[in-house]
Amino acid sequence: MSQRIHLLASLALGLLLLLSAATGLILAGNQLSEQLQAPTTTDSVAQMAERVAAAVPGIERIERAPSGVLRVAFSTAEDSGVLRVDPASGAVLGSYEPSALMEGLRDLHRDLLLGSAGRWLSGLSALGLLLLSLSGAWLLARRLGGWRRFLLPIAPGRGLAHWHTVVARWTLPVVVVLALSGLYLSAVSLELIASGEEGANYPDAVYAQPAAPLGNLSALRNLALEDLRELEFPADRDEGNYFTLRTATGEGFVNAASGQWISFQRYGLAQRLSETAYVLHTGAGSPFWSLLLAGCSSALLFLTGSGLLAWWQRRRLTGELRGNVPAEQAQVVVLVGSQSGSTWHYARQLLAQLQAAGQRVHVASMNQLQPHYPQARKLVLLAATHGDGQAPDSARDFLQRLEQSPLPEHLHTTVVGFGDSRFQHFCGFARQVAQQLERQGHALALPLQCIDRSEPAALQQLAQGLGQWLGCALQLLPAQPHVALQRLELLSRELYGEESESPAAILRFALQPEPRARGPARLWQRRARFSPGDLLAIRPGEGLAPRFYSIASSDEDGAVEICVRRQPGGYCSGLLHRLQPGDCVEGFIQPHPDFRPAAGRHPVILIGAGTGVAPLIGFVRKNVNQRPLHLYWGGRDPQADFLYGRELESYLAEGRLTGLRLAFSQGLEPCYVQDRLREDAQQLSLLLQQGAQVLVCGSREMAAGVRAVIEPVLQTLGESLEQLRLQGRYREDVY
Amino acid sequence: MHKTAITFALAGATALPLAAQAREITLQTTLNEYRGNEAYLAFYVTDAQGNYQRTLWVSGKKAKYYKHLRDWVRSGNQRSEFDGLTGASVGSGETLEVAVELEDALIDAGYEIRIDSAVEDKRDNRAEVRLPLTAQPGQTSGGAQGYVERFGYQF
Repeated sequence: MSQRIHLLASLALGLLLLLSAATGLILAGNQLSEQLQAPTTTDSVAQMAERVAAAVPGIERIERAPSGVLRVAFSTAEDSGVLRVDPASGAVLGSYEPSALMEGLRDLHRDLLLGSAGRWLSGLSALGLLLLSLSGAWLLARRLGGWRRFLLPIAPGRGLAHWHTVVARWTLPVVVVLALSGLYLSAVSLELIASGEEGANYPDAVYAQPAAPLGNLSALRNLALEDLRELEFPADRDEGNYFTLRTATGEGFVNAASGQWISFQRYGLAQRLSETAYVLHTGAGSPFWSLLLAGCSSALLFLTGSGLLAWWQRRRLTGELRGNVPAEQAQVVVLVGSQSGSTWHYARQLLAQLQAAGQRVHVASMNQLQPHYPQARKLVLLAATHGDGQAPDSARDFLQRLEQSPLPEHLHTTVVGFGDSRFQHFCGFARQVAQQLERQGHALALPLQCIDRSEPAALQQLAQGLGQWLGCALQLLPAQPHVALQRLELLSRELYGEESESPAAILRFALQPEPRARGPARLWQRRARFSPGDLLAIRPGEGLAPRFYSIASSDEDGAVEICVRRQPGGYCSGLLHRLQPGDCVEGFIQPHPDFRPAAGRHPVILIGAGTGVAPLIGFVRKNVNQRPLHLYWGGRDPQADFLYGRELESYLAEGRLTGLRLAFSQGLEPCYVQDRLREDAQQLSLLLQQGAQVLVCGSREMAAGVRAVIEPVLQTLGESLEQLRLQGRYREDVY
Repeated sequence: MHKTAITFALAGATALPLAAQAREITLQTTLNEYRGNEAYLAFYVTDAQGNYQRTLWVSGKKAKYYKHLRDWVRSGNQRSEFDGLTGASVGSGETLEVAVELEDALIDAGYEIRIDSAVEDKRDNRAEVRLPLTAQPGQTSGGAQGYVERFGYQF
């Protein structure tokens, strides 16, 4: 029940904020256009008023709106109304008609067209916005590793959650101002705070001398137009021949005969505060601030939308735990420490598969660690890392609880870390957990294993290890809730090194159109899009875990192209090598947006070996702008498996490829790609100084060898691989 | 109610020459259809020269908007004079009917009821309605540019 209330409240606040931001954006735009269009003059109020009074018979008062628009109320025996005038010439520009649309939007923004109940709601949404900004700032500081690092660059990333963080940090100060001022205005309008606008006391004495010409009145001559709020003309020339004048700082009365102030009263603190809140909230008075507010409103639209979406996705990930057994009955306990919710995905897979194998499993968050699990023999800790090696939300109390009551000896435990190696302290929290267990003398049953960004190969390895330990065949699929399998028809195949025991093949598949989505899903269904560097997952059979291959083509090419080496005894690669054109397999596209050249003109160093050339040749093909690309590739036999040999040479001639360095392990002078890199250390150093990005694709051993060459080069430059990784300038796709 | 009656009596004693004998007057006001927020209205009694005598009723509760009821606010009235004589603002096309106490001395003595009106971001009207106070029920229509369509009173 409380969850339901929470859900409804969050949704309602989200919708309120969306509405406020949308209407606020239009109002800020309108305010800005009024400010930019309002005619102005450097003349004093006296000169302006004289001109206007001459042009408008029966003038009652002149009001200057915060946007700079000048309004004049008049009343004669025949007619009355409100006019817009030009302060420079005094000319009447037309009747003052506020736009019905803008008034409607303003009321919608202020009270949702619900009257005073709506004002309470608007006030609540301002309060909600304030709380969201403050808690958001706190979360962000935590994620970045402390308030001191609040202003340092955020590691590059993609996706809504990343942009939510980036946009939120930039707009935070303005959002807080908007929320605070909105809250203040709501409180004033609900009369929770005094507005202080009581008005000055009218003069008691009689002022009946004949009026002097307006332009001569000194109090008006000394007042600049932008300081004018309202000038009210004498209503009663016989006894009260004075002007009522409201300025930016106070209000009072000006003798129409002498031009002197009769009295002047400065605005009190309450009024100054509420006026400041008004100016800050509406952007009145400064086109620059209006522009900022408009920008901030758009940002709020995005933040609310992306926030709601992220929250909804997370909810969907945590999902329902079907068949979850209470802690005291469980044989296996799985505890989850997750920030974004994606780690729950693996817990659910474990739960379902172990349960199918007849085991009683309890899944809960790491915060829910209990001192005793009477029947449990095995404990699996799935720990994601939040920010700078900190505990994610659902594991915040875990270490403390563990400290208070160490795990019982007979409870065999394993820790799996989930994280992102681009961040410092990769899997930092999982390591902390493992260390604390060690300190407490609780040996891990399996060594700590860290999964980098749901890497499929590592997941497979993890599933194998866990499966053996738990006595049940397991498979773990990357967190991707909706995978629609597609039929892939082989269009063509090109074989290299047919005689060798592990030949390589370039395979091109046609992607069958996706089945038509039903219901509202149709609205966001798009044609499958992919680029070089994305992955093609091939499912070799029913119930088997997919294998991932880097894609060398993009959707514009009309085919999915991959390179596959037939591994001795490899089931999936064997299957793919047996395919003949026209045959079909099942698979899906897995986006891999991190592995591709970053935007810009910086040089890119592509390093690959064997079939790892697939994404790299894709990048070269797309390099029509002839950005400097340097390819290092290592193969076996120059005669038999120089994959894409002729194509690469033509790109070199054409300029899509700047440099091509080859290494063959079975040639006349056997050598590896690392050796070529070492030879070119000077050139690499130069490229890295120019801000080059490095993309490595190939086997784990090769990637390690490449790192061993690159790291010393970086050290001479005073940089490190870790730094490059954080900047997104060193990316690996290894298998 | 009891308390306010005493306040009137005191106010009457200072402002008027004769000790007050009061009766109840019902004010009925219908606004025309206009585009905009609810109107603030001040009902007050003046002599023929427009000298303020006292407030009958104020529609609209937020004091910060009272400055738009231009003539009425100018009369130098004190907050205590209309304490308990305020109610909600009146929307477009709505009718307000309110009964208040009125001293006999103000009836058939050359006094009149005036209404100042104001709507946010629209024209403020001074003395939009002026209607002599007589023992017979009176009725009039509002100004061409104002918000009042009909105003009348009866005892």
